[in-house]
Amino acid sequence: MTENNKDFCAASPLKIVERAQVFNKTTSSNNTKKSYGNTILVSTTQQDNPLLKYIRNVAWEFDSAIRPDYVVGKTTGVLYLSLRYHRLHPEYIYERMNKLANAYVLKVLLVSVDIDSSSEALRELNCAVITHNFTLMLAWSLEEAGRYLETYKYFENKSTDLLRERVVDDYQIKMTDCLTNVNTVNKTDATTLLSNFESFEGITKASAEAIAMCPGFGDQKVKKLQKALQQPFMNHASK
Amino acid sequence: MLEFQKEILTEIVADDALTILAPGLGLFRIMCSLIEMHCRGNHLVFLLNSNPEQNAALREHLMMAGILPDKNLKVIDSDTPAETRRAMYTNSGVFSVTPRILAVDMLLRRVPIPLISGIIVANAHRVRSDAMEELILNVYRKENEQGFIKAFSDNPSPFVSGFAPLQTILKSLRLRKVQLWPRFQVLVADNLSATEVDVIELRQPMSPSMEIIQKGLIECLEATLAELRRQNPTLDTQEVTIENSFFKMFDVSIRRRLSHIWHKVSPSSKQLIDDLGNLRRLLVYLTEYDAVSFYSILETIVDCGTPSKDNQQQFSKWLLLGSANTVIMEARKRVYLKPDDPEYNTTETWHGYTPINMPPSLRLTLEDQPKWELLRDILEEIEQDMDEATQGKGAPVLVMVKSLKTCAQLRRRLVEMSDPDYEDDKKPTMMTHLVQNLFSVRGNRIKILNPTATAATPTASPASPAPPPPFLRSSPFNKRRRTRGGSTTAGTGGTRSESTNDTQDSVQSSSQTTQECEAYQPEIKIDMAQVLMPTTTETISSEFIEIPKENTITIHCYEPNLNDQILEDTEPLFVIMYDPDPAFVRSIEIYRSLNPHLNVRVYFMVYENSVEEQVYLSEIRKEKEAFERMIREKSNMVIPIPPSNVTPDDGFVSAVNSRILGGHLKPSEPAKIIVDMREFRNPLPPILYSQGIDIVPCTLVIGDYILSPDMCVERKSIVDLISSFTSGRLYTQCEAMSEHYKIPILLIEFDDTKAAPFQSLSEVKEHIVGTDITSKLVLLTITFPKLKIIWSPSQHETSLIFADLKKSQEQPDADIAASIGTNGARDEDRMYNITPEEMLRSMPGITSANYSIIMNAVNNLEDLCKVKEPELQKLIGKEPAKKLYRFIHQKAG
Repeated sequence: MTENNKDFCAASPLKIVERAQVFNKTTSSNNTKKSYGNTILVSTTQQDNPLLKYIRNVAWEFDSAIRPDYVVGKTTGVLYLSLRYHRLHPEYIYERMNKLANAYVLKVLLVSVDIDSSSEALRELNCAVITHNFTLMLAWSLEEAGRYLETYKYFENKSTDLLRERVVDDYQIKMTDCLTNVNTVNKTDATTLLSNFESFEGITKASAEAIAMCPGFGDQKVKKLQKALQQPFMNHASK
Repeated sequence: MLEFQKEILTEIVADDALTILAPGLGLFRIMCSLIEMHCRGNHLVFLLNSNPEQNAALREHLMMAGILPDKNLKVIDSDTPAETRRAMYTNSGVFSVTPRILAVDMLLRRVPIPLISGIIVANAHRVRSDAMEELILNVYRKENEQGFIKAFSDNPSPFVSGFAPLQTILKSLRLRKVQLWPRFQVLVADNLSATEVDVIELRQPMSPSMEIIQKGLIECLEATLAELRRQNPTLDTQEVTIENSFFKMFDVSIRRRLSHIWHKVSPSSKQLIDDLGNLRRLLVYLTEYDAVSFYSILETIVDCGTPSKDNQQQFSKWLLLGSANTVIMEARKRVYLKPDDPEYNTTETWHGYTPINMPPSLRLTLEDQPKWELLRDILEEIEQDMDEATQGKGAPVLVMVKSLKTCAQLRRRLVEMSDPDYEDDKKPTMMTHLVQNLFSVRGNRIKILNPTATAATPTASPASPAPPPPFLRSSPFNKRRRTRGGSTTAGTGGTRSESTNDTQDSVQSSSQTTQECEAYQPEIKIDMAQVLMPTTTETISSEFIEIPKENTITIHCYEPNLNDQILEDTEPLFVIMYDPDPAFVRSIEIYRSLNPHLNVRVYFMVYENSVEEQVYLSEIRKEKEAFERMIREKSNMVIPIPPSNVTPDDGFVSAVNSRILGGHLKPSEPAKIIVDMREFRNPLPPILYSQGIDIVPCTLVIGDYILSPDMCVERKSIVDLISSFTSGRLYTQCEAMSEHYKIPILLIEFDDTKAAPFQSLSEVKEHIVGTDITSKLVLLTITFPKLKIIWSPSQHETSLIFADLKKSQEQPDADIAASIGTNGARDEDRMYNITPEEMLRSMPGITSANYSIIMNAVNNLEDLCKVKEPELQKLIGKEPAKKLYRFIHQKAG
């Protein structure tokens, strides 16, 4: 295993320092325990994949026993496919997907889009992954593909806070966001409205004439704004 | 009607075609006649794409033409309940309806499609390929080959951008013919040149300071454009020119051009595009607004574009230019002078007048717009000539302006100018009111933009008076209340530090100076609307006195559909075009040709060497070029005959498979996809339909498209994806989809297969960043392992993928889909209004969990403002209610 790594390092002319770091990490985790711990497990079939040199932020190691190409979490397995390869061997990926049928909770098909006219291949894969219960991820460069693998491992136990609704608590920003939902009202207009009518309530109570007097408000803009304020949220909700 | 108009109408009636007229040639009248024909008799005709003004004008016109109210054009909008609509359609008539509603009604079979006599598409220049109109016409033609399709436009320029634009639009409209009627068409030219119009063209020079401002603004515009081009080399440089940038569509078209990579456009480029819009508007306002209003909006734009403490990166680069400073200073000098201005000592303050809330050290200058004086001169000249021309009877005078604002401004100004006490400085005038408002609004704005400064220095103004009386609220509408401040307030006004005004001069120093000027509080609020719009109340007296037509001066705005009507109603002998407008020139020509006995004299006013003049000339040139291009395209375009109804046995042939029981035919339902009503703003439903998939409109709580009982799709363009990741909405949506469907699908639509949609190669960062869109996507798939992702490079591709996916699946059921996630009770015919909903959802305290509670309980945003806090608490809980209530009622700053 270490031999593989060494070969790999020697073959790639990239920054040596970084490589060394990865290398160190790999070996250190090797020393403690070979497990699903902090490393991405890479199938030995992938050893010539140039993608490996872009896995920089997370350690990885070869494992000949795993069924997918990469294991990036306890329950996450990744198959890697280059579209160029797919064009030559279209049956290959189906075989691989079938073999993985009941393993792993999250099965990712990481596709490297490396041909120019990819729509047809993508259409086919889009449908195939759904029937095979895979999740498709597209990468347009090896760097991006490497980043996806890293991120899967890195976020393995991450909480979902990043995805949840967040509250920005700045009155000015919030109000501008709110008012600019009206088509044609821009940031400047929002400020004008607020400085003329002082509050959201004030804006709703302002007459059309008063708004029209604000510099920057043409007839159309006034109409649009007032319509948004007076239009019911839902039609015939209470009829 | 003139001969050429009759000709146009005959051609329209005879044949289905797209008719494009030069603006001002009376398209509206022709449409009126066409619709009138269909109102008499028992037809079912739909009018698409007309705007509310046109509908109102049409109804009025038809009424005048003697159409009975129940036969008149009926306007259907989202307020009309579905069952009522169905009943209305069955009773036939002419309906003006929005494409979205008609599409839904046709798909749900609320419209008896075979009975439709025809569809009229107004404003055809707004039709895009794959738009709702195309869907409607496709559905219509599928079952009805007899009815007519007629399309109109009087805006030629949109028909020339892009590849074979005319051909594309004809295909969308399912038309094969186009009729072009430029102004230079022989018949039109003959008809209109029969009578000469007496035109006096007045090229008014701008005031020196206006010229300086214009020059400065153009320099800023040029610099901004150059910077934009530098940052975005992909932009088509042929279109990005200074001349084009004067046009309204310019920043919109740049935005559209960049829309597919909008998320990749750097924030500074976005700011530049905003700036372009602002600068263009400023150029327009320079000639349109009075000096005070212009300075006020300039200040607002400058303040918003200035880097603040919280917001260091986003600022308008043009503000750093020397010319920007010149512009700001010159604009201020048109309003008032400061002691350190060189002109200060040589200028008397304006009529010795000082507004109460202005520091006494300042001197008002209040420059008049040069056109005002010119207008007065013209009116005087008219008065003299009128006696001569009409033997002392007098004649109506029509002044045409661009906007309601100018209209109000001129009305007020003319009254003031004719007032013998005009020079009397004691009298408040429009300009002094405006100045007072300028100072009070400025105070508010500074507080809003620098809330931290306010909080930091509350002690600096111990004597600051109580918050100002609410603007506009307390005064009853029919009483003019002049709240001119008493002597008590005058004292505090003086304490305001001089530095307020420095804020606008030196942009960079603004953050310090605003601190000092907090001592200033606006005391005086003047009801601006009533000051400038004395119309409603003053003119209504207890008795009606008919004002003879001959003595009136009418000020009117240009209204593209009503120009002819205005001229006919007022029958003016003198027309003053205060703002240039090519369409109205033609309306006058038509009016003149129709009334050869009237010796109309036209005064045409334009600022010499101004952007206003430039825009006018370019507009005419562009229109002419557009027609020339269209004539060329018309002569060599190829329009395929639309396949008359894709043969239904196609499906039959493929379904018969001899391998299965020797060609045993298993009856299969047609492919069906349930589509959320809200998705009808996107081009995907029409594309799906043209793929031969039945689409069923439905209001869905979860997902956008339901492909099968198990498959639910949420569609996101890249821009949507980013914004819904940031807002957290996507998480909630995926959660709901995973809960209710076996196969939840996120559809990501991106625009280009050749480049990474999220980031360009150089942007892959050294380390994993949690806020990257790719990182979030990874986290999303980890969180929802069931979630599938479809990557689609275009909407056409999406439709093909959908079709493929559906092959092995059962058909979905609309009723079940609609009920999922609703907790039972649901009004199936509900239509959501998107803008208010979005506004509500962007308010603090509102989450995706509680927004629908509010929408069910409260009618609209206006009513929401009236709801008391305890009631809100009952609805959405204590904390959110508090936040929401504060947000709505908090005074800015």
